[in-house]
Amino acid sequence: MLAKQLFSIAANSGNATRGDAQVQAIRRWVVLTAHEWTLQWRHKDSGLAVLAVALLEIAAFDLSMNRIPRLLAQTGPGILWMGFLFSGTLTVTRAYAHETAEDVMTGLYLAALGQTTQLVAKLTVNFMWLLGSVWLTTWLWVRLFMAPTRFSWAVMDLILSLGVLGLVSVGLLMARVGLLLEGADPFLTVWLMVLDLPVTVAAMGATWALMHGGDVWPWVRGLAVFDLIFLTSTLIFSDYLREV
Amino acid sequence: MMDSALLECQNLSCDMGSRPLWQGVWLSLEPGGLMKVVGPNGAGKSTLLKVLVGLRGFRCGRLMRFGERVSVAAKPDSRVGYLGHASFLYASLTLEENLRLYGRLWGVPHLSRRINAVVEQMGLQWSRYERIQSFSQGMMQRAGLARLELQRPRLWLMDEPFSGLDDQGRNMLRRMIDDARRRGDAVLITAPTFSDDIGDVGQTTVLDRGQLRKRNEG
Repeated sequence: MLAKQLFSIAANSGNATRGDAQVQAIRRWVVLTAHEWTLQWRHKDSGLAVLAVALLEIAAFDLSMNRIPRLLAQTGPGILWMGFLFSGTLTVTRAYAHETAEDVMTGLYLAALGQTTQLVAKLTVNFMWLLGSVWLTTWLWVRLFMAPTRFSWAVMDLILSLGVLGLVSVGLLMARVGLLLEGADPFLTVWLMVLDLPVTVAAMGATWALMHGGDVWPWVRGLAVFDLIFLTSTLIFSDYLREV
Repeated sequence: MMDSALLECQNLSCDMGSRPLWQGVWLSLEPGGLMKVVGPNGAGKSTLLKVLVGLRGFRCGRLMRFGERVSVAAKPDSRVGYLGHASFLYASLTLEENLRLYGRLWGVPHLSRRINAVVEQMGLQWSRYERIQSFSQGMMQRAGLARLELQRPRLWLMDEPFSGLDDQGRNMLRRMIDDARRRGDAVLITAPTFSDDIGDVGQTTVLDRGQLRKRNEG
């Protein structure tokens, strides 16, 4: 449904402003975003992997530590963000998996599709999917293990959004490097996961501070700065990492 | 006459690693022209097409497309259509979805109508809503040709386009090439042998041992 709406927007804008480079770029981004949404909806990689890891965590901690609720409340942010880090990174780094068969990247390149447009479309859709499953997992965790805790969900949404944006930015950079190496190093994802450390630490710190009445904003500001750095790096490097 | 050529190579050379792959290539394709490049495996036919379409750089020489000089790191041109060994289509999407994606990226007008026409022309009506991953080799080749036909380029560069096609598919491809030439497009195809898979060939050239030479004049 969303994909169809995006496609119709793209078609209309294309007719209205032919020749305008900026509008062309936006139109192509809309086309690609709708296309990426279709791919994700069909495979549901990003969302399902994160939810699967989250359910595993919830089940394991519920079975083992449910008698010590204080411990779960204290360690919750760390447990959650480590789960998001692993499952999120593993799914986002496969963002270009559909383009490897039948040399689709070359086809898209010949269709004069810029690497940045494609990357921004992938970033948008992966961000939406990952944020949805991360939000659902956090809500479940809070409901199950931290019921008496009160905090602002608006601030939590901000923290989750910034954290997911950081994970997706770094994940897409890894995916681009992986595409260049054609999967030559299967452990690349694990090695490069260290790049996610600043984002994960800041997101963990912000979530813990929010849940336990600490000062959230230094952590949120740090998270925003890391996001900016990784997002910019990914956008800049993606053009250099083009392989045809 | 040279000014009207859609494609022109002057003394073009290309290396594979540190060794020269082919050198001193001269060729010219005018509107409505057809050229067939024949050569053994590993002669560099596919690389020649990649250089012409802009997927690979060249060492020296001059490459002109549509009367304009093309630099070594040229940007893709939607007037140039390329069919390689892969179909460039998403395996997990249907043929319809793939054609719609490329059509939107190229800005093809009246897209639904064009897709209907192309799918029928390629004889893929029954497979239109099937995922590409379920296609046979011949169907995959037809799907790749459908993508090219949807693009309607002015310069068609096709790497061994007859491979994998049945008799019906070959006839369809011959008609497609004839139609393109009638519209004033130029077509360059490669083939591993001199087999008579295509009728009226304007020029047949042989790429062997790093040199491109003419076989006959049509």
